Parts: sequence; C-alpha cells; structure tokens
Amino acid sequence: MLTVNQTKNTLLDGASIEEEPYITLQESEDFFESLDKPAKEPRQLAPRNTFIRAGVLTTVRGSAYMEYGNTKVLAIVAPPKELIRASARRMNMGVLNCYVNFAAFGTGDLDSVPERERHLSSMLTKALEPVVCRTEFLNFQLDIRVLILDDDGCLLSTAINCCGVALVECGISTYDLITASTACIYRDHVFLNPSAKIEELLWKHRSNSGTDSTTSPSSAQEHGLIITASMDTFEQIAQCQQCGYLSPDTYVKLLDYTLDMNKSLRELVKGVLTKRVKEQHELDLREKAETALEDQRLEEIIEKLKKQGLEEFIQSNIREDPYVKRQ
Amino acid sequence: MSEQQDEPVVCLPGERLCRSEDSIVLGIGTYEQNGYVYASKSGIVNIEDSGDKCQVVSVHKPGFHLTIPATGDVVTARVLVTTPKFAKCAIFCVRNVLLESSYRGLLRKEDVRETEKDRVDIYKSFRPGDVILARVINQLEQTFLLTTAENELGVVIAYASDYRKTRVPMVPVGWSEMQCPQTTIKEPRKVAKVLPESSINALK
Repeated sequence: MLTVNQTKNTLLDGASIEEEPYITLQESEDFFESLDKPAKEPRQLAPRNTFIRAGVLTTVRGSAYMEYGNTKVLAIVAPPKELIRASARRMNMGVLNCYVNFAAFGTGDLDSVPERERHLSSMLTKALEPVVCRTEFLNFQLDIRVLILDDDGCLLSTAINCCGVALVECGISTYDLITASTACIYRDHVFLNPSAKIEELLWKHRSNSGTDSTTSPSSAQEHGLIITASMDTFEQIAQCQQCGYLSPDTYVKLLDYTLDMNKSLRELVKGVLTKRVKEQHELDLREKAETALEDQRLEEIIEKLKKQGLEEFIQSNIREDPYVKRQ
Repeated sequence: MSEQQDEPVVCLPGERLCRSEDSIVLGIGTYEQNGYVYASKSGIVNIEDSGDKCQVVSVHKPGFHLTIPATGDVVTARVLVTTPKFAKCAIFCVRNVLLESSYRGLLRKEDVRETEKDRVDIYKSFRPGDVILARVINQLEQTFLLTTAENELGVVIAYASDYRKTRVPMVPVGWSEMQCPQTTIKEPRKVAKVLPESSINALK
C-alpha cells in the first residue's frame, strides 16, 4: 500500500518518475484474476476485523480511533466554537464542519490527495448532519477533524463510524448512533468492504469504459459502489452514496447488505460505548470517594483544632485584621 | 418506573427510555419522538422526583460534559471593551464550570442596574479588565446578552486605573464604589454583593 509516486517537479523540467504511469486493460484483467474472488452471493455479512476505542487522546475532549481491517482512522471533535464565517449566521441551526486529512504516509497517490480530502470532507458533513442535534448549539459551529493514517478502502464509512463514536464521547447530543458500511459489485462479484485495490480497479474500470467504445463488453456489466450510513432506532438512512452503473435490483441487494452490516457494526459500537461509560462512571465514583475522604480529613483537623482551642491557634497564626481592630 | 435504584442504568444515544407522559419532564440529554423519550447522550439514566408529582428523566454523562451558557445561568466574564451603550465581555466560566474557550457576551446599558435604568453610565459601572458576575438573558446570534440587574451580580474583581503601579485588587466600599487599599483612590463600579457559598446553600 505504501508506494510513493513522485509528483511532477517543476525544477526537473517536467520530468517525473512514476512507477506505473499507465495500466492497460490487460494488466488490470490479470490483477483481477489474481484476486481471490468471493462467491457471487456473499454468505455472511460480517464487517472486517474492527478495533474501536473512544477517548484515545487526553488533550482533546472527544476523540476516537478506529481500525477497520487495515484502514486506520482517528477522529477528533472539539467543543462548539463561535461561527467564523458570517455568511452562515442566518442559519437557525448549528453548523457542522468536517475536515478530513490524509497523513503524509497514509496514501500512495499524493496527486489526488487534496481532491479526495475535499470530497470526503463534504460527504462526511452530509452524513453527520442528520445525526447531531444541531438545535442545541445554535449559532455555533462544531469542528470535526479526521486523520486518515492508513487507507485500505472503505474510507468514508470508517470515517463516519469513527466520528459517530467521537461525537458521543465528546458529549454532543445525537439523535442516534450512526454506522456506515461499503459494498461494491464488479463483474458480478459482490465485494463487501472492498479493499483499496478493488476500489482502484473500479475507478480504472469506470475511466476506461468512458473512453472506450460503448460496445466493449465490460461497460455493459454492472459495476458500482454503495456507501450507506444508517441510524437504526428509527430505521433512517443518514446518507447513501452510490456511483457506477447498477440495475435497481442490484442496488436494492447491495443496500440490504450494507444495512445488515451496519446493524452488526452498531452492536459493536454499542458495546464499546457502554464499556466506556461504565469505565468513566467508575472513575467518577472513585474521584468522588477521594474528595469525600479529603473532606473528612479536613473536618477532623478542624475538630481537633477546636478542641485544642481554636482561638489560641488563630491568635498565634493569623495577623490581626485592621478593620476589626478599629471597631 | 421499574428502574433499579442501586444498579446504574447505562444508556446510549437513540435508546428508548420510557413513554412520554404528562407527568414526565425531559431533562438533560433526552429528547422526545413519537410519544417516547429517547436518550441523546451516553451516560447513566437518572430519574428524579420533583414536586407536583412530576418525574425528571435525565441522562448524566460521566467524565467531561459540554457546557454552553444557557438562559438563566450565572456566568463569570471579563470586560473587554466599554462603549457608552454597552460593554463587551468574554465569558470564561459558566456556573462553576471553567470553559475551554471563551464565549462573547454583551452587557447593555439598560441591563446594568435594576433601578434608575436611564441614569446608568457604563463608564461608571465597568472598566475593561474587570471580572464580573452576570446572568444570561438570551442568545443574540453569536453573543450572549448578559444582565447584572441583581444585588449579587456585578463587579467582583477590579483594579484601579493605574493598577500597573500597585497590582492590588480594589476593595468594595459600598454598592457603587471601590477603593484601592494602597493608593486609596476611589472608583465607581457596579459592585456585586458576593455571598459566601454556605449562605447561598442555606437559602435553598
């Protein structure tokens, strides 16, 4: 995954070094053959191996880290701030701003990074807007930052999952828990949680079929990607992004797959958050017990002093108050 | 309500808590939808009996919780700029919670005092740099409207105008004046009658 493509350097007179400037159809064909293909119909709708942890950073209030297979994402939610842009003032709801950034080592293709960052940011904002109670921070903006540490497909859905956890961790009111997942179809093979290579193949396929004559057999084939974010309490879909060419039947099929996966992810997120709440509750209790102990200790000291003669103690330790003396 | 009192009930956003009835008041961290009360935060469910046979359902989030000044809250603010009509402040503390970033507050001339509102002069009440106690009236776009029209609200900490020489906070000598203990300069201020915490608790 960590191949670095040299970007075009103007100092080098336009000379650029690229490992694979073009991939021919034949090559991608070969690559596809080398993949271990899933069955035509996926038998089990399981998400990838997932690791989620809320509150990974101590310096920020709401943070979450998520590993979804090899995709690694870190999300940070800061408390609401005053609006910076004056144009958004007219809104009668809080404003949500998402910023997605790739870590320098997080992706191979550096050329397309700014574009992808912008695209992911806007998509993430749209997905999270329905879930946050935006009426609670009127005329304020909520900044959500996402850092992508490693990219192995399912970026948007992982980012949405991670942000959902971070929001709850920060204590921002949300209507529901949000979970998202990705599914794609390519040459009649349904890939759940496609890896970066498959996603790349899809893009290549799309750009090729655009330039090739329409009679080529591959363009007539179904190929496409669906990302669905859902909130299950009210059976709502927060966002559904689709690209490629899909027949309605396939669309519904893929949608059902993603929704099913969302449900199992939701259970996972629930478990993580419940554990977190219990953990923090215990910490709170311990803190309370400690302060109570401290109070008790001080009380005892005061009691002791009273017995020894408080007056004496004060007279010997505290300077006389000039105002009192005057009276 | 068949909630156990000893075992804390953990809930997550979107979890249904109970049916919404007339006797149930929505507390912090909850919202109502389709006749049911749902949680909007993760935390521990709290059901408290309040008067009038009402029950307040709220969700308490352990650890950090977000504070935004709400109407009616007493806030601590620092005066930044004074003009003849209003004083701009930076709110840095809500009730007893210190904020991470300050919010803008606006104190209008009419809200400085309860009586003789028309004879209030901002420059005789506040100076930039003073620390004041104020109550939030409402939210005007991005700034919070504040009021000090109560005996307990007003300037708490203030330095004399030439404070660079002394660095000693002034001492209140009456409800509208403060005096520097070193230079004995008297300056007009809208002084707060600061009550010790014990007496406030006793009042409740």
